[in-house]
Amino acid sequence: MNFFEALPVLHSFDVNLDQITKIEGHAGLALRVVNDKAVQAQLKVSQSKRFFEEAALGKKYSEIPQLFSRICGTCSSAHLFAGIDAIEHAFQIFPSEQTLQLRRLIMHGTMIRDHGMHLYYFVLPDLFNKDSILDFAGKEEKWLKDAMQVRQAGIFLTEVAGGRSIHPSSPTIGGFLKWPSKGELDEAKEKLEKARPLLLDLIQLLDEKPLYDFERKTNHVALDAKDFGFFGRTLVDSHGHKIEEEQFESHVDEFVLPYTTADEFDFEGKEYRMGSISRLNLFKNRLHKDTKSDCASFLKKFPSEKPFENNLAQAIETLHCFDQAIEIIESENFKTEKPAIPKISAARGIGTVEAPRGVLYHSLEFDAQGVCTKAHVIIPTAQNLHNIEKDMLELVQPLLDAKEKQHDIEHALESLVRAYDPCMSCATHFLNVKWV
Amino acid sequence: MARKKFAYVSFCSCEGCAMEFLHLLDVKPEKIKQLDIQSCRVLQEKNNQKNLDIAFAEGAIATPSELKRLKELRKNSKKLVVVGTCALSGWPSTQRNSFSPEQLKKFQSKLSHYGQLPKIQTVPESVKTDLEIPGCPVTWEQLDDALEKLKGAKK
Repeated sequence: MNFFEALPVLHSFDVNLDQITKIEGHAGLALRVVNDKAVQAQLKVSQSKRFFEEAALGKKYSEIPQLFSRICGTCSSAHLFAGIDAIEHAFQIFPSEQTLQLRRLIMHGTMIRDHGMHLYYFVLPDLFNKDSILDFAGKEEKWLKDAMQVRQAGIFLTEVAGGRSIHPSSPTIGGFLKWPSKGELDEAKEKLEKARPLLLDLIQLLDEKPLYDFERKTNHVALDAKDFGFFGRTLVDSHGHKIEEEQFESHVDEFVLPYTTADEFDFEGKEYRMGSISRLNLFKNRLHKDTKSDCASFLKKFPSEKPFENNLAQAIETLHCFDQAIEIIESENFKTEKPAIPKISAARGIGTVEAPRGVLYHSLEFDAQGVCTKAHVIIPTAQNLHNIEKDMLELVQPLLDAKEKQHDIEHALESLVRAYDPCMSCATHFLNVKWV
Repeated sequence: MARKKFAYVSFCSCEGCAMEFLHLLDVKPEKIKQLDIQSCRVLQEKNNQKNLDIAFAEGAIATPSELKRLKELRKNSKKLVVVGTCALSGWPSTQRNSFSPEQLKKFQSKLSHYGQLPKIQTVPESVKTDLEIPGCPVTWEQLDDALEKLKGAKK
């Protein structure tokens, strides 16, 4: 062997995936490898912009919640409640306890349906090496049947509590336009109880078959929500910081990047993440007692710094939603109540909700007539994007070192993005323009 | 009856109608056997948008590439169904169409950078359509009705 033959062969190439499938919305990914080292990773969101914050300006406060619900189909309940919460905050409305409980039921139904879609339809095909859950055959068909029953339980709960599963129609500022009957709620409870064992199967499966054993420490941020009930006013992070929602904007930086239609964020100057794994990392002790009891061994994995364990976290969180919804239905005696009337004045209000993918933040300002003069929405998925890109670089390096096939590297990156369960419709609601 | 070659495609929208399509499959799983799903990005990687019997199109058209994709879809599908208010009449995806010149000035350079059309179009404004389902979102029942209507339909 001569001198040149003895030199190591270094490879430089790009990995480009135009459309990641089995995620919500449109996005691709790109990875640049130079001399066998992953040097740049990009999550290229390609969903078109729809300018909700600009569209809100000049509109009466009463129009905002149902407008902002349309930022996203699958997360519509979260946007609806973040908008309502911001307006109630601005106009000094204090919703009744039963209103808060009914809102929680809608969030539970939303989580069940949405996590159900993500876990069964987006994640399971990777676990079984299939393109789609529709290709599952023989014994595997169980998972397709389970998916339908679990999701149906969540959809029915949201329909009963909120009128509709996508863009719920009965929640309004100060309360509800329509209240569910005991009969409807009991039927919802029955569906939840019947589907509950199926969730335990899913949790077991996700625990046994994690996709990649990849770990990277990051900062987790979640809402301090009573009883793990998805509503709160203080944000908490892995370092123990407690930030009131009014101060949140001053702790984040928002970036416009040329390769993606979604803005990216840093918290205190660094990447961070949100979502089920972050909620479990920070508040697993607040899960429903039945969930904690049935998931005791799985909960030992949290706090977790393994991005793929967001899938397991979502499944455990879904079980919590089953259990807490059943308890609320058993203990509450909902009575028809008129929505509280707002006191209109020039004011600003913040609304925060734990959406399926993390903390959703709406900030709204109104003039003395209740007309919107400023709107700012910060999306959980957008806040995860920088963290995803950092994870991509670290996940892929050992695969490059082991000379894995390009197709397998692509698949690993896609699975990582899926584990975050990103929502591109949410992430591209608005194009923020920073003039320097 | 032969399975219908089917595609569900979304453009500029909130994907809420796609969620209702999934809801339809939850409620009527037999539809999975009746439809030969050639393209549905939320359910599978397999993506064939040629020689289709039925295409469902959700969302408004915001970029030249979305317009191109829609025209290809129209050319390659016997029937094209417009799904939801964004696709049919535009709102809320088309809300920037009614921004004042001062408002648009704020975004003009970014609109150009991301290749957004000067005005967002609806699906019927862009191509010939066969069936139109309004709703925000549509309901799974409406989607089911549409599929039933198209079951025995010839070209």
